[in-house]
Amino acid sequence: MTEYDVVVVGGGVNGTGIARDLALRGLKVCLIEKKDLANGASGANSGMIHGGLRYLIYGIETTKNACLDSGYIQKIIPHLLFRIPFIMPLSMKITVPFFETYFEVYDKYAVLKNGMPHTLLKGEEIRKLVPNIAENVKYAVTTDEWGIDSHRLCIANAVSAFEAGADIRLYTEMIDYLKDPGGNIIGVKVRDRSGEQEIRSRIVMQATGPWIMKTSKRAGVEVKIRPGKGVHITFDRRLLNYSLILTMIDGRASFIMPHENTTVLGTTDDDYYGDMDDLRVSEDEVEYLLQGAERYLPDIRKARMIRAWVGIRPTLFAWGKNEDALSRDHKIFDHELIEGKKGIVSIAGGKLASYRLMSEEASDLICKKLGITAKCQTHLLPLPGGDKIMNHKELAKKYNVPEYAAHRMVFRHGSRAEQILELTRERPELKKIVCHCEPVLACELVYCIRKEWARSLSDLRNRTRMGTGPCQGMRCAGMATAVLAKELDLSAKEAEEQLLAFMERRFKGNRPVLEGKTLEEEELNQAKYFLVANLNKLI
Amino acid sequence: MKKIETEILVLGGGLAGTASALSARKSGNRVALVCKDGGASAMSSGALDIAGDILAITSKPEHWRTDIAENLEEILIRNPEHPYHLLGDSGEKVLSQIKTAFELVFPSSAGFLHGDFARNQKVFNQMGTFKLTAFFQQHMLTLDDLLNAEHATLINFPELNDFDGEFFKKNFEYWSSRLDAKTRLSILNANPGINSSLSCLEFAKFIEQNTEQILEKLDANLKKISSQILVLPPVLPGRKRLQILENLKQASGANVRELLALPPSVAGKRLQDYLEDSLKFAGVEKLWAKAVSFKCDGKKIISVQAQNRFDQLEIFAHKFILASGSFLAGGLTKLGEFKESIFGLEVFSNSHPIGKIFTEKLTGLNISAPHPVFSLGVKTSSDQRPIGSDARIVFENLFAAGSILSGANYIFDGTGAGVALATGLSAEEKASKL
Repeated sequence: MTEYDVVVVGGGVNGTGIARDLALRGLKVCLIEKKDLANGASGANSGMIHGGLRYLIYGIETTKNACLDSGYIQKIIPHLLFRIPFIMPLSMKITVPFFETYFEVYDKYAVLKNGMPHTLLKGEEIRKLVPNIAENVKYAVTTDEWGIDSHRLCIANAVSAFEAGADIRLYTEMIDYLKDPGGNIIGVKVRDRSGEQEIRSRIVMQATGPWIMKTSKRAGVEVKIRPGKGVHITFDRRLLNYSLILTMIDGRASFIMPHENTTVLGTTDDDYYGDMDDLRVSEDEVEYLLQGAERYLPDIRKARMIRAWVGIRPTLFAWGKNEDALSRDHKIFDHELIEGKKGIVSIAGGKLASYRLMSEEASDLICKKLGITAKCQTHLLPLPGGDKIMNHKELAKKYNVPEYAAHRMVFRHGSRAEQILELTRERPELKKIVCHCEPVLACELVYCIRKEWARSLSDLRNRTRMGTGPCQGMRCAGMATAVLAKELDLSAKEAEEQLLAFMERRFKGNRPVLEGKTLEEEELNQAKYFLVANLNKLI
Repeated sequence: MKKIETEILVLGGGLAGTASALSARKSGNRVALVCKDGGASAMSSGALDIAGDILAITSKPEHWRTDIAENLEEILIRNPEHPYHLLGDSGEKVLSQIKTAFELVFPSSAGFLHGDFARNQKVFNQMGTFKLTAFFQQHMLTLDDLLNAEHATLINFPELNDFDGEFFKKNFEYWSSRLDAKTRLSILNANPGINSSLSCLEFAKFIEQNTEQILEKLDANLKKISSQILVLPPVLPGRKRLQILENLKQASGANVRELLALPPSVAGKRLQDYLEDSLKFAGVEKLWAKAVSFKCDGKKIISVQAQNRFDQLEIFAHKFILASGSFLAGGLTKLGEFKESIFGLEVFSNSHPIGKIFTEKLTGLNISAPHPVFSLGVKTSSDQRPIGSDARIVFENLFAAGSILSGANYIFDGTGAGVALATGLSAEEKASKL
């Protein structure tokens, strides 16, 4: 039986962040995740390292921490971040002084994350930046935020943890805690494809996000959260170059923003009581978001929606507040102090932007318990690929691949893009473009299978954005399956099952937005894989 | 605006529209056909379905029923809304109409198609799985081809970015052995001398322009082959296809077979080219334009406006046949509400007009099950004239045909080409009787 210092349960941004932090401090760490990395909220958020402008009225600490840490994240993984200038439209002049003051306060924190100070825009100035904006927008305030690929952020943390000696075990579900006669936690019982197994550890760190109430119950401790459902819609391509902050019908703030090579509109925030493992978006929620965006961008319904997606925020519990007013702060639960249970620590709440800080706090507590004095290094050491800035044009030339493909690869992998392209020396056929929408080359898929634990098409999607463009896998799914089948030596049946499972998952995202071109595309998709390839009947 | 006059105007240049237009020409009517670039026929695999086994048991292909007449009966009984009911009250009558329509568009003398009306054959596609279908373009690889062949050789072009030889082999060997074929497949990597990745469609263009060189390069390799069958990915350009097949046959001494293509495909393009040639040959005036609006006088349509990059057309006709397809071809749209695109006709799900409805109400959670949204379409009277929610005929001189008709889900029941051709023919016959 293996014995670890720490078992981290949960492969989200907190779990991978903590695993990295602890591994870099020299602890023996095992991370277990029941599905893929970033499978929950960490893969279904707005993809922003934002300073928490919205949270300024609810908790200044959240904003400050977020801004400070956003600065660190830019240093350790520069390739994965991109600037998103925000415009907040104001329809009435009377509101201008209030927001000017509000943003002056925010500017103080924004410098911490290399954000530009706000400016006030009037009439034509706004229309120059956003030509299709509604007539009644007369004033606007700008601010600056940073976008990120949050899947890749988790993966980078996991890879870093692994390289520092941690074991990363995906598709491994924690089914129970191991307890001593006093009820203290001494490890976990897990199940993976090969069966059940016990893993001993001195501390178990629960970073199970929205699943935390469920996992806590098994440990005999209590962590209360108030799960909030957040829905986003992705539109094909960048509809605008600046993000707009929207006021919704119920007075909530939402946004529409250019994100990577798409546009994202979000988000809803509703208490969620359903099945955490089967989240679905309803067209009703899509309608709520469109209605809000339409007030600012009257043409929005003509734009092509390609999918809708949903995550559950593990917000800290409070009674009697509406969802938006809940604090986005985080909390680390030392169950030894709370319930007298040794060997278990939990983390809940918080936001993507402050994941590193939260991980540091949790790791500090764990180290204190274990009597380890090593200091946190996660704000100093670059994440994988973040050690130097790559020139994508040179790479494209050197390996004879399209420049636009090299550009996206460098965005995702930073300096490690070179390792990926090295694979094509022996196998030039890996230069093939598999996903044309993104684009993604075959060598990147191979790399993700070998070095980033990808075992399915959905795992590949999470790592490369393959199949997230307008064709939603119509062109790439078959060829990506071929790459996966060769690399993992899958049987014909296993490979075809993979393909069908991927289509199933894609459909879940398309289904709430089946209109216009997306509906046409779905007809073609089903005609291709069902009518001609016959997968629905063969598998 | 350019004005054009004709007797019958067909809207749509796919299988249904072509059947209507050829039928009109046959009876000596003046006919014009307006179509935008590339409809669903061009986006198809190039195979033509009449009736699939709607009761097929998943993952048990050995039990799937291949008898077309039987499958047709089953569809007529189980789906009272199926457009095949417009053709007659018995399976026999329906099948005989389908035969007439096939003979009209694909006369057996043309030698374009292979297959028959008795049974669906298993045709292998470029992924290595197979499809059951009645008709397919000549020299496609079927299960029958394999039954007497011990050894086959696949010519693989590593440059193709939508075909993978090894993946094909894996799937092909699995499924052919499941169907009791014992053919061994070996892969011959051909190097046509291009240094970039191309799709099958792009590669077909390359072959068309460099046929001699490619054949020359292949020649030496082919001499060594002792296989009974030579298999090619779907890359053969339409005009030179037969010539290339013949050359390869002589060089290798094997039967040369091409794989069925996954759309968007060369085979779909060849089908579209075939339809275009037939129309040209029959003297149908073809207008490349997108129909956008219409003029009417009460319940009578007078003209349709269409446009392309250069022209605005107004086409006057006495009768109009709507064969503009489903969502993929653009005949139906949903932007807020479901509508037929040109005349704004109401869209039906079975017998219910739907209009503004969340699409999620017409789809299931499971992608593999048939989704009602793909059975939507216009509903017609028995003489194929679209009706409204009040069950009255909307325009007295408008007829509908093909996948724009409600009731069939071609993805799941495998009736796409049968419906298109037969209702295309019958729409025209019904129109000329009026």
